[in-house]
Amino acid sequence: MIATATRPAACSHVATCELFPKFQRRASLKVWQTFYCEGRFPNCARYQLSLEGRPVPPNLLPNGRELNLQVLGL
Amino acid sequence: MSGYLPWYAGAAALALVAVGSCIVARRPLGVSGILSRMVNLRAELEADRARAASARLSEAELERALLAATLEAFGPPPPAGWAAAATASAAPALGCGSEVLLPAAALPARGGRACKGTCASPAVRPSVAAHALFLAGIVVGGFVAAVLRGGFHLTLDMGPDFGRLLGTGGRGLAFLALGGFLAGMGVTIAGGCSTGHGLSGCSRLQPASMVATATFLGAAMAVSLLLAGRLA
Repeated sequence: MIATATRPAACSHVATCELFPKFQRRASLKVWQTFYCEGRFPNCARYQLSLEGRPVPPNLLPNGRELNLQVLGL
Repeated sequence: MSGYLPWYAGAAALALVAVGSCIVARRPLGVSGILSRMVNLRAELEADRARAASARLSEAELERALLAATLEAFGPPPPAGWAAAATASAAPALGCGSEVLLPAAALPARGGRACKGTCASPAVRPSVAAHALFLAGIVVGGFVAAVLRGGFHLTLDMGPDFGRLLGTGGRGLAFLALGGFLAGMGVTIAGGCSTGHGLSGCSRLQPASMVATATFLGAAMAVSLLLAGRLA
């Protein structure tokens, strides 16, 4: 018998995540949702900060990198 | 004015606050979460500034930045698209970026719970100033209620029973500090306080909140019975 770890199917913080609605809206961004929000959400940098009760920067991506606004020339 | 208002007035007021918070902020109310923002004030203010900078961007600009980040993290999408790759039965080679590739078994079934009830209502993060105002409102509201009841006076203990059970003066204050420390530890471990779990979580039928609230109430009842026995 293979032991399986029980874990929720999706991140419980999506209702308060500022990036989640953006990932949902555009097909090309859904990969974030699939990989993190509905997959490896314990590895999501936003989830981890939120779990620790620490502020989650709005520009923090699930992989721990910050959204680079320089690509916009800003 | 003296005495307490009827219990249903308090229940109605709490319901008004909980529902009002959901309508205004589109997120459930939790007092300990708001307090923890004050503890992390510096980082919270930085996050507020970053949020304000993001808000100045147009949706199109934000999407461009997100698309660039997606390409950097996952590489270019496979010909069939990300969705097809993510749900393929065999482990696909998902991109050539720096992201760790997932086996297909680690990916969830489509139509997970994440979307339920959240698609139509994007979360709004109130500013630190708004939450500070909320906390100030709790203090001012308590003060006004006490003055209206004619019972306002500053005290360093929790009443005669508290003094009889745990002592007064420095000893009583030490117990209050210990209680506060345990409460802070508890809400951090539990991910919320009686307001967040009891009021917001239970009203949304969250199983974890129901367990947490049952534990809060059970522990409170047990301690009350224990103290009543010692006071008798």
